[in-house]
Amino acid sequence: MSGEGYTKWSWRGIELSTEEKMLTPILEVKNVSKEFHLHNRKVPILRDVSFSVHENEFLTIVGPSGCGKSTLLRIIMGLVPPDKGEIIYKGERVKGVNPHMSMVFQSFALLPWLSVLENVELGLEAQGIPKEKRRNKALKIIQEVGLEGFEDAYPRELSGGMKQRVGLARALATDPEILLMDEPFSSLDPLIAEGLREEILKLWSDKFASPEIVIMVTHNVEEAVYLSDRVIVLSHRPGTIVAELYIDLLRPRDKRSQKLYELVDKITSLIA
Amino acid sequence: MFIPKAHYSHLVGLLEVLDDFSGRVDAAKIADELNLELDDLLPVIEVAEILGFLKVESGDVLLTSDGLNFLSDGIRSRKNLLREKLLNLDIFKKLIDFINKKEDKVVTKEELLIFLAEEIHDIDSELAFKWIIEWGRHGLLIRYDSKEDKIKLY
Repeated sequence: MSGEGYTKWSWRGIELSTEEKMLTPILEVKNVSKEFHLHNRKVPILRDVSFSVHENEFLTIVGPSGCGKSTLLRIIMGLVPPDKGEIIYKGERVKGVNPHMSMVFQSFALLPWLSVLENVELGLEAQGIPKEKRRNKALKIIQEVGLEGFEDAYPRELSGGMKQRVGLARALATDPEILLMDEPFSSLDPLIAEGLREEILKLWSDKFASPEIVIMVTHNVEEAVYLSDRVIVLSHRPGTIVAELYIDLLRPRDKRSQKLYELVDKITSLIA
Repeated sequence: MFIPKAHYSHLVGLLEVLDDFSGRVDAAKIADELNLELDDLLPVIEVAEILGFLKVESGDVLLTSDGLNFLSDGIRSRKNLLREKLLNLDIFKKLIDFINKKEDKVVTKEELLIFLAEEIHDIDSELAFKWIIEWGRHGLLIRYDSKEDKIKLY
């Protein structure tokens, strides 16, 4: 529950003390609760969830299946309203979809009748960006995520790893300040997921590029510890925060370090 | 004639795992660690070995300096090294020559299938077509517009 011994953040080459970080939250989730209605019955999904997210932070939310972690991500983005509580972005209460965020989905969520380039352009089109400008922007992002050469390809012609690159490119095209990722590696085979995690860290390590913040949801504890600065653990439904751990490991991280194994064991025991 | 029979994303994943093991590990250990069958891993090892990104020595796989360079490169610059490596493969040399000899430098899927049936004998031409298009796109060697049924040089 604490960041004991955690004094410096070396995230994206920017070093700020924890105290400095805590003074400037970009996002605040305040007392969020949510219920779903199922056959005239109220099913509580989330209960009184509160936390803040700070600049240049990679935060991961883990928890057992059905604990409401994906719903929480949708509430943060404004796709689903909370029943109680609020989302504060840079000091302002957010109503509706937050245009400074974008989401990467587990199922890729690509439109099969559109090419890679057209799928990536979608988010920009929704923002009303003129055609030539959005094409140039989409082509630039396509290059950055390793999709160059696939501009004309359709989703059915792509492997799972390449489909998720398109999902990532579409999300990054709008220059989001906060990138939300909902189980982004879960539907990929383990070898492809290994490579894509590293590529996301490569993109993320560029401190001059967006996004500043990543909030990821996963059920994979090892992945959470390897990628994140901080891990929030939710309980069984209704999801409440049972622990918050700072991952005090220098990057690039060693997946086989004893400290990493210890953190994975600790978080796993909190979920079980 | 060799053609790559694994996805590019598999290649990247394998090299990253190898790097995690400090550049040398038993292939069976990788399979075990990732809950894969060794049979699933072998086509990826074969692609990586033929492209020169790893070596196989008595059951161990070893990251080569080219493999390490590939990992150190940015995502965009990896394309340059991959292109260089793919251009060493006979199948791509022949394919580029085949497209270049066409008057309009464009071939259809059917023409490419016939070309592959003559060159590749260990797998079905449709499957060979899929791998050639995938790797040709990754290495910025060819463009394929499936709507227009046109394959041309990048």
